[in-house]
Amino acid sequence: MRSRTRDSSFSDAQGREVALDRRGFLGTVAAAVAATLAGRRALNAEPPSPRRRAVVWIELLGGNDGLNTVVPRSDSIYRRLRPTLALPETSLLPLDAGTALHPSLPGLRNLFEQGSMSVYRAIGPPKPDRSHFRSMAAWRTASLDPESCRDGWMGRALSAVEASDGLLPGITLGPEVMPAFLGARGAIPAIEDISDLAVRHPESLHAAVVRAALGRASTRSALATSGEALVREALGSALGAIDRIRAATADFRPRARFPDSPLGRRLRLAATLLHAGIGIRIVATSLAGFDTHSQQARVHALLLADLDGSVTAFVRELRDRGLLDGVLVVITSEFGRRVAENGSRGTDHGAGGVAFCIGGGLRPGLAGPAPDLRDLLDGDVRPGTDHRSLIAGVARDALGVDPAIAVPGGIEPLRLLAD
Amino acid sequence: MSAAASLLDPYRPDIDGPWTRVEAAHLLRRTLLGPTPREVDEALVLGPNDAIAGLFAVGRDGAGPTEVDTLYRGADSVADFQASLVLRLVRTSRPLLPRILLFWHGHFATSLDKVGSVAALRGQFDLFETRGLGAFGPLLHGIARDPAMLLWLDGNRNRRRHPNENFARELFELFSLGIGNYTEHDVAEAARAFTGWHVRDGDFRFDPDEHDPGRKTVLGRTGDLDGDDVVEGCLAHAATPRFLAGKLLAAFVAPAPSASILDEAVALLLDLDLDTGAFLRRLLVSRLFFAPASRLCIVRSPAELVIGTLRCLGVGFRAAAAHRSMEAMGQSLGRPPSVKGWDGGAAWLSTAAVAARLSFAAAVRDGPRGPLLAGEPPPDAADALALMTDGGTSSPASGDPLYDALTNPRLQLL
Repeated sequence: MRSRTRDSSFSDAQGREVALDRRGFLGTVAAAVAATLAGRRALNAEPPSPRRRAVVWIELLGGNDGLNTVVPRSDSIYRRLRPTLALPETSLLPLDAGTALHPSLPGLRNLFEQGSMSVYRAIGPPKPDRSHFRSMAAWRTASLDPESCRDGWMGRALSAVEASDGLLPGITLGPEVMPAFLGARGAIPAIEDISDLAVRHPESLHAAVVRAALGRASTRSALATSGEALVREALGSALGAIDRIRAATADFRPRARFPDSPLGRRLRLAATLLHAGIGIRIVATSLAGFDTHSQQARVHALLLADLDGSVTAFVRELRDRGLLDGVLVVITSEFGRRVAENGSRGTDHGAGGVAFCIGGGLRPGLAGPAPDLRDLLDGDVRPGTDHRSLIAGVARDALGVDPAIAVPGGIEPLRLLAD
Repeated sequence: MSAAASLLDPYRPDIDGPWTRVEAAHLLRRTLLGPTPREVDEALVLGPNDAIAGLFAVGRDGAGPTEVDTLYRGADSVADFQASLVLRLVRTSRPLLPRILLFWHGHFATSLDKVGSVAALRGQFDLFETRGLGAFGPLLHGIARDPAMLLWLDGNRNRRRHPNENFARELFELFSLGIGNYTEHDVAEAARAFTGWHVRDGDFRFDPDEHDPGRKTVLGRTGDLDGDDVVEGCLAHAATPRFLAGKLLAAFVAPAPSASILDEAVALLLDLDLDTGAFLRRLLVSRLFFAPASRLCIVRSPAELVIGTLRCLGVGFRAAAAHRSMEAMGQSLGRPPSVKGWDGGAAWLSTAAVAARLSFAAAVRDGPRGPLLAGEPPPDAADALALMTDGGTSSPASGDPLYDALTNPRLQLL
């Protein structure tokens, strides 16, 4: 035993993790919500229309190296500027005569061959910025001037969607609500796992908390601050969302094998939620670690393998359950990386990057201009596809909302669906 | 003829407003995170100026190392480091230590996930402890040579022939100027100025062979600049006091200060030669600070909630379990999610985080029967917590006064 300090214990530092109490929430409320949901599912049993899909948006955080993801395999400039990082020709997974996928992406290559995936190379804000946070903001606001934008494109789009039952239009699978949801009406929860939603306390007290949290104006004193209103709102909406999610997902057992990685678990949860049919239109999640300034080759291969395994399992799960045509998966990153590798066998922040769209009934294949390594922008891939046109396409073709709502000022949307 | 009254002028009890337990508790919440009833009574007698003087003076003289210090200094695993840090922040005799350390940890957010050395991050925290309440210059110079920071932002990879921009960019964007106040060219040239600033065997070492001594232009200054020159350029730049003043106001007074308040605060910080300690000392006794709108308007970070609650109750606790509570709420000390730190504000209140915050309340109420506490909460626990919330508005009641106090939404606020 380690020494004790006063009466506080440090000796448990290596102690066994205390198990969460997974008792249900308010049993009665959960049952009532479940009954309502069952009724709604029965009412909404008609097949999804092509323009009413759920969007699963995956951000590759840190700036994914587009050129080593979708590789211009026969480009001599690529090989010259990347003496150690250029991927060997024999290891690549060809898409066409000049283009191939990273060897860690066999599942995505299958989806490509099956006509279930479209690939955008050289995509990004037309005026690139090498700051992570500014580039993320450009994507999340769908704006060229993110600092002037107070809300996110997902928030604006969801506000325009007529949700089938208004239960949970959007959700973030991750530690914090994706800022693209700013401006959404109603609560957008952020969770990592259903078990995150286990609140440890006796159920009778839980009832009191819910009532207190929802008590709002009638129980608020004259001194109530705006901070207090914020907390009350957060408590009330979080507890409401928890009850709904748990009731709707209680009996789900996945059929595909999801990798035991953060992204694998998040996409498994995404499948759970989409299967529950609780009206979710946008699931936003992320995979971090792509800021590969040094020793890139190994870590990039591992990250892409995680992405490939997780997305492939997710697609298999949805296809097996007949849900794939109702879903559009979009994979993006805030920017691509510098074309020339740096002295640390890594790459620095760049411009145009790669995006994938995956789902049933898509217009598949390589889309948009390829990177032109003879015409670089300050050493970076010059963006050939405006990121806003992808967002506008998702808004129109998957969410069924006016693309000008998602993209301020409007832009010609990409055509994502097959005719 | 005196200058127009400013909201940053000192708050005068009975002239600008009352001085009651409400105001005293507000001052002590913002400084101590979780004051005890006795501390509030003491501050009530002292008045704001003497109370703040005491807060800045107490505990600065080094008594010998305590048991907690020994645990903290000896921790070598991440879990032990985190647990002993929580213990240290609750039990410290230096009243401002938790807030100052957590503020700079968020500002210069550095993660053990990449640094890989508990000793290095402890060294960075020591820098915050020794220089975090004084002039910003020595702190920023210290950070530029800090081994944990150099490991975090690729200092060792910043070499003469292959400059690495990681530290230079974040120095500008996140540590001093804020975005929009420098160019890509400044970043590239500053990276060259920091070439050769490396870590060897856990210590800073300047490697002249890897330093690029050539001419550079950074933030409008041209010469054979080195890293110190770049740091000086940041300190002399007009954007730095504005960036810092905004962050300190948001963390210690109220989020989203108005433009005129910010202008006044910038002038004050410049007047104080970027001494953030002197600046805070002025902010914390200002009329703005005691304005009703400044009370309970900041969402407590998980660390601020857990440390404040445990300190206020004065109850024994299991430090590892306390840190696990914070992690469940979204804050793992020493492991910020990115160099940008934690977003804070409403971002702390995601669905899962709210569930974890309520589980923490339940764990406190469970006393030694639960995983968190080593003893029973004191008999006056509900009254002590009322000082954290300016009174109770949680209703209807559960029939358990302690649980009601713990689930009062205002407990989530600072």
